[in-house]
Amino acid sequence: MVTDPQPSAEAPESLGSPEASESYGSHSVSPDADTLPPHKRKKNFSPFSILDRFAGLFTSAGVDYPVMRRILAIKFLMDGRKAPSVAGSQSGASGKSGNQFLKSLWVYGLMGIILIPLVLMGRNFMFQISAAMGIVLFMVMTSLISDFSSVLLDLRDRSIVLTRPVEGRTLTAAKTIHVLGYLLMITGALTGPSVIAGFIRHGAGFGFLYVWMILWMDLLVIVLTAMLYLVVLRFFDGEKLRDIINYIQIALSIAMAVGYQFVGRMFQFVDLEVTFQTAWWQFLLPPVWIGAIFEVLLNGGREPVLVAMAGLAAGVPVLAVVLYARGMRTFERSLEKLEQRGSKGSAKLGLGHRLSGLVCRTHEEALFFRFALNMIKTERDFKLRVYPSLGFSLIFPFIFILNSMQGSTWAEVTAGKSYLFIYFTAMMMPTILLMMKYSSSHKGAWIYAATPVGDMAAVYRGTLKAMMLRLLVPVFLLLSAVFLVIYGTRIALDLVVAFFSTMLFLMFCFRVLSKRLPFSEPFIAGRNAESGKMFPLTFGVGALGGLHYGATLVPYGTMGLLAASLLLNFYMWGPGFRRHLASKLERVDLTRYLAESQSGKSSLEREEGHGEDFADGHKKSPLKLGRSDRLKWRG
Amino acid sequence: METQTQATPQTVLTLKNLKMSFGAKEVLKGVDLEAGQGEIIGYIGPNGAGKSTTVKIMLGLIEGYSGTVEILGEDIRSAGVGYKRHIGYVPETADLYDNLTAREYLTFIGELYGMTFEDADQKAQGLIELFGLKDVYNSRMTSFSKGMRQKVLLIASILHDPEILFLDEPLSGLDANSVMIVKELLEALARAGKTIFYSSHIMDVVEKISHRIVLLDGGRIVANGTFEDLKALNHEGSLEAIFNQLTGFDTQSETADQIMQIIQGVTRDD
Repeated sequence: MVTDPQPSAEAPESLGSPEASESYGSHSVSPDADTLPPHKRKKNFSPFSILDRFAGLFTSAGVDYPVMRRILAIKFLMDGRKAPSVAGSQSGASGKSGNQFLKSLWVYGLMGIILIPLVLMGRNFMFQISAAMGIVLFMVMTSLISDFSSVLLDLRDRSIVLTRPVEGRTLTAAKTIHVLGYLLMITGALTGPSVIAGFIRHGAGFGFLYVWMILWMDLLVIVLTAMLYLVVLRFFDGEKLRDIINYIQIALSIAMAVGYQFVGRMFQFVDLEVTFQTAWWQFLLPPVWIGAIFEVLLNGGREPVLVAMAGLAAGVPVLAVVLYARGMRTFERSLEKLEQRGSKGSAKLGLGHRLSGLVCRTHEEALFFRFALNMIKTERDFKLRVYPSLGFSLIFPFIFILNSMQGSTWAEVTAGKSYLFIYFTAMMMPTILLMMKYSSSHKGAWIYAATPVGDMAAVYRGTLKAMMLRLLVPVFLLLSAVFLVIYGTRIALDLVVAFFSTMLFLMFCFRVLSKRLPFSEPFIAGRNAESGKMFPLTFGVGALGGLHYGATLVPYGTMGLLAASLLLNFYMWGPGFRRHLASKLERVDLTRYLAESQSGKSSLEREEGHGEDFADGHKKSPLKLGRSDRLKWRG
Repeated sequence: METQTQATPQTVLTLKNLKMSFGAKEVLKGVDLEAGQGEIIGYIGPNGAGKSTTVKIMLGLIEGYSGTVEILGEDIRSAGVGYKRHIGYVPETADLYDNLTAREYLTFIGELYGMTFEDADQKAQGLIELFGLKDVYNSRMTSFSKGMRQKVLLIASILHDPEILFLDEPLSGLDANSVMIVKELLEALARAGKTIFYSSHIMDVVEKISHRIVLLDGGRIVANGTFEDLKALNHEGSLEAIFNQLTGFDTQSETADQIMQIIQGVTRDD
């Protein structure tokens, strides 16, 4: 039976519909429309016409609906203008405002295709729906935490809105609807394909139930997230909460990338004859409840456990919303804690301080070594962009070893050369070098110009060493330890060679990529001008691994490689480093460079561009586009 | 220590035994205060004395205090948010939604105070013009300087003709001419019967514009009276000196000397 999914899917679809989103976007183009009084703007603002139908519901919950609507209108207006702080930090889009979020919806739509087979597979709903809902719950919850936390935790709202005659619950309702709007668009994109598939395959009853349960899931996600924050804020301070959000974001990007490696394999394991076996812990998993409600309503399941779980699926969201409405008062109050200063911190100087004397040759180099260590220790944006690649470096070698294990025995693997997958750690180098120039406190970079820093080579070398020590060395040591256990001590020499090759690769990347001052530019969302160089650099890793493999085939090859690598390292980090840098930096006027890098223009690229291979690439770079756009937004 | 004795004409604000703790830390240890119509109260104290906590409590941003806060005759704990209609606020942190234009922001705030869009727009436009920002009324505030933002914040606080104003460093970032306008404006507001809570660390300004000075230290009011009262009691010439004396800080010259010793002793010898 084919049914039109429109009626019940209306809420998510229409919020996500092109017209609706157009109208957010259009505000950034026509300033006149922005300043119209709300009642005149209303007509072409379609999400609100839907919301208006629920006005009575809000009013009866004690919310001042017109005020809430006004706050929401302002919020969406601002979102249309912002650089994409909302969503899309990993979507890789660059430049334009407004439609940024819509672009990232495509990614969700694509991921949603995974759900189609789960829905189509058969009528084992307990399994299929639980799995599908599990994916939806994970995706939506992580995206809420990573991209929309800023909305829930916005402190400006307190001092701007709550100091005016506005009830706390009106603001809370506005914030919730604001977030919910985006969640509905995300879930709309994510589940859209499978909803259509469900309607076609299983009929209208299934389709409506599916849509309804997805909406429930969204509400549950908001409530759970708010509760998570509430608990964290109760026991820790705001800094801790921001750290936790940061680590969840990092975990999300790792999970997504690794997840893709397993998706294909997942379907090999899926057995349609899986019979459902209840266990107590399933009561803790909301997706299983939803599976149960499908089983009960559509397959006529009558086992008490199923019915109980179905009851949970129907009842808990209602309960959650009621609790939320009550608890948000406490939530708003505990946001106060975000403003409080963190703990005193420790007076210890740490390992880095002692190491700086060991690994650095000059006083200035050691100084910038410590500076870089301290900067990246607390820089959340930096971690967000770099730590995922550390995660990949740790995980991918094992995925590839597992892959190569198929069809061979454990003994064959341990006797083989798959330990060379340790070269995956070198993959993080380009990312690190690309991110090294950014900082959220980039305005502090005036120190380079205002202090008598004589030796730029020391600045870069100190920073590079800090990056190596803080990011590469721990991952490399950990992997080496595991590999030594798996492959035995015979690979010790190879590991040493791999380490020095990686150091060499770092130098190579450094030479190829542009040399901006460390921590001197603001993070820009999305793609970087030099992302184009990343891909070829990745081949460099492959080449290194290949070379090493080749060397192991020749007698004393590894030894030879080690000797060559040591020599090259000595040159590249030593005399070669200074020579290379001098040729790059002699024409740079530091003061002007800083002034321009702060205001979003870049002159170093131009200066560097004289006779440089990559000059053209820079000029057409999306970075430039993105930046001039940003300047335009500022008016 | 002197507490306020003279009767105020028409009380608009009363704090009775106001106490507040964050965790184990007691920030306010029993503050009693009255303010009448047309008064400009200089609300001063060292960092961490509890000034902004008091103001936040009066604005309803912090709950969980003990004691009572009455504003315009209503206990704010039970009054609902209606009383905020009569309050104007310039926050120290200069929070505003800066990716809006000045017009969008000011009309939004006006509407939150219950004005109509047209009314708010008209008033905002007039005020913006008087503050010399006419040309940027329709520009996004991301491009505004600190002074321009401060003007917008000031306008947002007076747009709805409030009875009580809480101003936290309202002059920060303003140029000398704008400072004079604002000082005159505060006088005019007071003459019109508005009550102004003026919080600042710039003692010269507080000394000049305040009718009454309330000094908070360690969560307690340690002085409350006109500048003349404080001077008579403390035999000091300026509010700055009185401030130092009352907050028990008299080591500034020793501290400066020590600072000199440290910077001259530890300079690198190469």
